[in-house]
Amino acid sequence: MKQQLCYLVIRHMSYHRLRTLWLWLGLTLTCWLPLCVHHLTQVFEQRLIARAEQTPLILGVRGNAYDLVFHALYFRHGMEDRLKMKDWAEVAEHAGIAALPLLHGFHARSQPIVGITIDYLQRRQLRLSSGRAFTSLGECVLGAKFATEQGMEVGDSVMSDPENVFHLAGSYPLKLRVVGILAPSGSSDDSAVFVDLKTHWVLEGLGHGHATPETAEAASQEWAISGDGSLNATAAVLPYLEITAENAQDVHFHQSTEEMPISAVLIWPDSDRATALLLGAYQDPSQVLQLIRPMEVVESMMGWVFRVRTFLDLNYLLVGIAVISFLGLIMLLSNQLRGPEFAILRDLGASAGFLRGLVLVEWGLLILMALVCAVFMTLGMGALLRQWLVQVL
Amino acid sequence: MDIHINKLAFSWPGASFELKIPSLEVAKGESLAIIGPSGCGKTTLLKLLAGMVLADSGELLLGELDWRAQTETQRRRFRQHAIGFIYQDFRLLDYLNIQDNILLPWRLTQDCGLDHSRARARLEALAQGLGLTDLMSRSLDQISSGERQRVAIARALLMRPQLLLADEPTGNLDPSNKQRVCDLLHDKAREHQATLIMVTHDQALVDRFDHLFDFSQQREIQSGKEPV
Repeated sequence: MKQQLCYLVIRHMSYHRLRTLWLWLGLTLTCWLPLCVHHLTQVFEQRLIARAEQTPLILGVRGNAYDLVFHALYFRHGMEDRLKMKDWAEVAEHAGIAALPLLHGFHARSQPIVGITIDYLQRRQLRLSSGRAFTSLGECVLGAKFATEQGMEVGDSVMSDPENVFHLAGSYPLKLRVVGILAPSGSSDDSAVFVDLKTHWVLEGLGHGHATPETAEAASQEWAISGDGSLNATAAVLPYLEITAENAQDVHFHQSTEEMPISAVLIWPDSDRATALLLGAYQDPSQVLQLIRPMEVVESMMGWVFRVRTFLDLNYLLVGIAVISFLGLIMLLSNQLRGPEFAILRDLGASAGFLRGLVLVEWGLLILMALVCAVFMTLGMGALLRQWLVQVL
Repeated sequence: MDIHINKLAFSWPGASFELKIPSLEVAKGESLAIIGPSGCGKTTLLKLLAGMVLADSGELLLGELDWRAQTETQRRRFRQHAIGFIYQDFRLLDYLNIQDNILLPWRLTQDCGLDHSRARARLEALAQGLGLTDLMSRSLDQISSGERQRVAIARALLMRPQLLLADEPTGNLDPSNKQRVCDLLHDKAREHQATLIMVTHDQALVDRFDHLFDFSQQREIQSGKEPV
């Protein structure tokens, strides 16, 4: 009997296919909206938490903890206030601590250029899909997404973006040679351009190379002999726009390494004790530096996300109630329209249970189809937006 | 199926009209035509015979069966197995094709002992007998009124009923089709040894019936034909 009932339901639905499609679409959208929001916030949360979990502590200049986390983990937000390399050295001296300096303040094709030490790649378990890691000034390693989107390969080069075209005394763009490309990691590393810290300092104008007086003799306007006989450089002496094997030895820094800037220090303590000791060392609020646990910051931020989601859920609940009311009305009107059909079936011997079954199975099928479709749409949307979420982060 | 009616009375709730039938006897395999003006209770009598409504008083027996002694489920089951009903407006389902409309009583009948292959065999035999073979996969809007009436007849005959009730089955048909459908009903009823009771306004069709019940006279008029 169930088979006959299902047969009649399917015949009815396929005959009234436009009405069925209409109802199915309405139900699908009603189910999909809250499902999608839940799924995307879950993916967002997972992405945020995964990255934060991989980095137990971050040291930075005291200020907004969110900015520091987003800067150090997702390469978002420039940090105006900088630490110095000696701050990193001080942290690294603690027992049971692995600390890596990080500097980010420039971009190449709108994507972040991140100054790191080679240990960063190992600590983040970033694998090279081609080429090698940077070993000298002016070299860079590209994230997988950056390389794909820009169509770059090992051997190509990428210019850093000019930070301010009207600031003539500012830093000049630097041509970076691509020596390696990372395999996709599904994180913000995929969109970054990684360079050695020293290369980043050159980008900042703290280190540079330029023509020597011997080679500039022909261009005498670039050099001037003062009254006391000393040789002075004029503004016409431009720094190198590309660091090559030939001019690399001319690149020099005007400060000691320990005074050089970094924007954050990523820290991996090897025990709870090491963590506690380090947190103790930076707990004084009068200190210039702050040591934060990214997980706490992310969880606090997720609290806001969940509050927004709760509001949305409430909204969807109200919309859902309204939709269900409308569906109830549609069902009632539909049953009234089907009155003559039910009368025929009743006269031919259909029981009241059979007629109820016809209505319930039809709506059950519609709801099931809508749910399945909503789940697939949610998963599809999640897959589509996964990359976007990585970019957002 | 023998039909026995004695002092039957019925009225719809809240209505002043009361249906009264003093006496009516139809033997198994015989046919009865019911005539009378509109609103006199012809269709109500068919519904009483089919057990769709129950008499207020009097006696109505289908063979040994008294509808009032049956539960709703028993009445429904008996109706499914033993009674075929043909309506003036055909009462076919628009979302089913011709074949599925004819098979509908089988789909709705539990434990009828008729598997799919036997049901199909009956369907094919009926379709052939009623000239519907080429129409089986068509939808209702692709066939004429006469063809629809034949589909309704096929549906009523599928379960091989002992009692065939027809409520003005020729009301929507042209004169040539009227006689054709009436002959068809007689032939099929005889073929299945079913008792045929038909409501009609058409005096020209009553000659073939064994009995004639005229509501205007509230009595049975013998048609003059010998019982089958």
